[in-house]
Amino acid sequence: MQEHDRPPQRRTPAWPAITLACLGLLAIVVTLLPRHRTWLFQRDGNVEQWVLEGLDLSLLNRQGITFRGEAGGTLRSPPLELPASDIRQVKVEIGSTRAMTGAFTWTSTAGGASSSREVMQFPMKQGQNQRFTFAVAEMTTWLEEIQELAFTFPDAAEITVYAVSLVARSPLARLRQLWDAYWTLDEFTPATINLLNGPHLVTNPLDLPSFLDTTKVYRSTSAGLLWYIAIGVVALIGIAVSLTTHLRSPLRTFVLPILTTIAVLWVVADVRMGIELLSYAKTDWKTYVRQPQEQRQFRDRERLYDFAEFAGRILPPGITYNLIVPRSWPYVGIIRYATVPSIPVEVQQPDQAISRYWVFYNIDGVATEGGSLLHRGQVLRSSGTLLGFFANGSLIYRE
Amino acid sequence: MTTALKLLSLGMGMLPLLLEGALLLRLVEGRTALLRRTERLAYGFLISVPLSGFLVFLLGWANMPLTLLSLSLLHFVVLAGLVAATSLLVCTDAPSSTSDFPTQPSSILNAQCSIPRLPSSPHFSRELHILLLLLLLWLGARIAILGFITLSVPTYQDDAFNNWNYRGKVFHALQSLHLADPTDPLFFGGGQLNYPPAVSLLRTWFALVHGSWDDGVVNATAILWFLALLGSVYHLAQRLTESRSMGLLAAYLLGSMPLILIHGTNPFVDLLLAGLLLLAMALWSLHRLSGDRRWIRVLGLSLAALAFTKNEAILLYLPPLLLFIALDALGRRGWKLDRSRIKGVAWVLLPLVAVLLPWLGFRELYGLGASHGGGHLTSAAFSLTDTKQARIVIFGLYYTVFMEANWHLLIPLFLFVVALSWRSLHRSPVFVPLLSIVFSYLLTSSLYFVTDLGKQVVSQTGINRGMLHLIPSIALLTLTLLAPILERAGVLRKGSGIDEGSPTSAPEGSSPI
Repeated sequence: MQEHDRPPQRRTPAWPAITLACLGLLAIVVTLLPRHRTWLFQRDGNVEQWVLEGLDLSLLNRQGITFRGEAGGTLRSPPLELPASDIRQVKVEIGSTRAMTGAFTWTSTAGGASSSREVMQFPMKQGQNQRFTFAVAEMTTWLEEIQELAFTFPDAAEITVYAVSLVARSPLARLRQLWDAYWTLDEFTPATINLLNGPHLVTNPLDLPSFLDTTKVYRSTSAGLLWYIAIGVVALIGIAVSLTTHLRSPLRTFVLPILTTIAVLWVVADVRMGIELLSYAKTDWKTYVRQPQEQRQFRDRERLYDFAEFAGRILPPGITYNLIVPRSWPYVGIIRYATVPSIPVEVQQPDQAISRYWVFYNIDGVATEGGSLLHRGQVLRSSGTLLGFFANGSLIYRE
Repeated sequence: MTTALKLLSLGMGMLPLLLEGALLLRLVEGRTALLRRTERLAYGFLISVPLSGFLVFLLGWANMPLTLLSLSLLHFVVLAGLVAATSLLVCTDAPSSTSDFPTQPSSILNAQCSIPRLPSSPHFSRELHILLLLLLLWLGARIAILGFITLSVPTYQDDAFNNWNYRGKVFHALQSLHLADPTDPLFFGGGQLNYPPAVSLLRTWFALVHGSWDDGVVNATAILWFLALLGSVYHLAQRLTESRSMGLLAAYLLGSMPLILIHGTNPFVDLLLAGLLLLAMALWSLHRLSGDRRWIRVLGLSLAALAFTKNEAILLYLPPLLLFIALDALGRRGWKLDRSRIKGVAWVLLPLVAVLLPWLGFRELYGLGASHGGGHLTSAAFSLTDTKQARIVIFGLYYTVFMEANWHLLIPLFLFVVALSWRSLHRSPVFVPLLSIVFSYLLTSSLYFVTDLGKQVVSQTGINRGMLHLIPSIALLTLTLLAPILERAGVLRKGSGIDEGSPTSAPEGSSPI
């Protein structure tokens, strides 16, 4: 075939690959910026399971977490499983309305049992925001696994904590933590039907978002960032090859390599998320399906479904009943569903009752005695019948 | 034993729907078969779920009781009617030149009418095929395991125990639509009254077949239409790309997306809507590709079914799709209104109107409203300087699309492939679906910017489910545009490869389906 007989070659545009390369470069730069664990109370605006002992929370907003203690108190971290060897420093940004000397302590597994070690007292000045750095890696008592951090304030004052940071010890420690974080699996929650977070990139297990709060997911780095870095690198290599060799075809230098990269990443992601989805099944199998009825618990709902089914069996069909539960969601919906066609009316006070039938679930102090319905010793109803007892605080009664 | 009984109930409940859908499609195909049997089963099941629900709704409105006897009789009558109708049609067309079939007239149920043969296709290498099959096995294992759990656990999600399942359970308990007293809390099943009751009625049917309400059985119905969706995307991709390899790849890509798999094994309705939307978009593309008007007939049924799934279909997806189909048709052949065009319009619109008129009339009659609230304008709608909501929404849209694990890398792949195909997009048979998807996405996203639905971006309740409706169509589009690129790159190879069978293969059995 002559040159002029050949059909014109379709040209594959190069600009999509070049755009991807630029995005990949940007992703690399962003990822390589120094990172360490920070609870930014200013930004997150929540306590993230930190515990206030002897302290009353007075303000929680973008400025930080502000609390008062009439005689001092302690701010404790969430439960941690933190290899001490991975952390070089602990930093705190804090302010106080009164000058005092605070204390930073931690609890570790060193010595085979949990024990506290006081590291350093930090002198707070009145009315100033200050930053303190604790070089914990140099401390002989910062060992094994750190289980808790705490800041103790001895005097009455209003104190604001703006941020607490844990600085990683080394790049290797960060990499190890990245790997652990990548394989930290989520749980099946009510939000799972709406989104799947996927793995996150953190250099400290404490950085993992609280998966039950979807708003916090935005604050940490998704492992999806790695995808774009990989694609960008491949595109960059493609550009370099195209510029420096005789291979000019964008199809061969950019497009096919990028598509191959996407295919490989897809399979990797599929394995990762497939394992996570199977872990949901495994949890359900272990905690619910294979358990006897009296011991099984379903996800975060414990024994609610068994109680709902119990109520559905006990109550006559087609009635309206008073329902008393710790809070509306998800109890009302699930119990209503189980007792179809009966209809619950959620009741907060005894005088709101609209029916002779009472259904209690997880209400402390509710009991029956000789036909009377009691709550913390107070008689709610003086004569009636206990139709069914499920567990303490969960029963069905008819006046 | 319990699991076996549940599976038996699922099979028995599914059977009439499967047959009805397949026979209905065979009927509208006309004298010469258009679809293969497995296509009819896959597309037909997706279509029959809402349409059979619609029929039950109409009869329930007319006070038919919802019992096992009445619904079984109904299915029997429908099936008998469809078999009779298809038996009466006779095929007289000459067979294709590649067929050895005889030319005497024959019932269309007879396999001696031409069986459409899909072309011998470009295909992946043997090694890639093996990898793909292994990945499909991995997917199949997950569906089986997650499906077993679905069969074994109670209903967990709010929308299911508050609406989809709740209404079905009320219908099941009361054995009627319960329309006597609109002030009754259980009127029309309770829950979201302005939502079509198709899926709820489907669950009522399966509970009746099982003998009692069982969460595992009714929730596992979602797996049935998930499998039908995977089968549909396989066939549609195969047709649009003329490659069975791409069909397998489409099924894997779609099924492996985590949020798709979660919805496929949990009792929500979004995936059914997504499947019907995929079908509607693909059918128009196939009509564009082949010029065969029978695709329009199947399209009409899929649009009618789509309208009776969720409210979003009527508000967000049907209008742009119909608009772009109309523009496309007008653009190609102008405003000429000839007999064939009138027939085409009738095939598209009549089934849709036949469903919408009674349904919307019912809603209007009982004052049920058009939506379940929300969608009120916020201050951001009236201010050019109040950008807080806009910033949150932009970040949320970016993060949920590109950073979460919901769709793996589908969206970047889609954007990449669209960019590569930019110059020839307007000539592609998937151009109308592409426009429709983009328009629907922009329409939904705009609501987040200016209404109180914007909080769904932060809480991530609605934002990903809206995207989920479009994902199967995006996946199909992506692979359709990708196929020629892979062919040019040599990944898809022309040749005999693994194809559908030679032209002289013996005719298939005489089953009508």
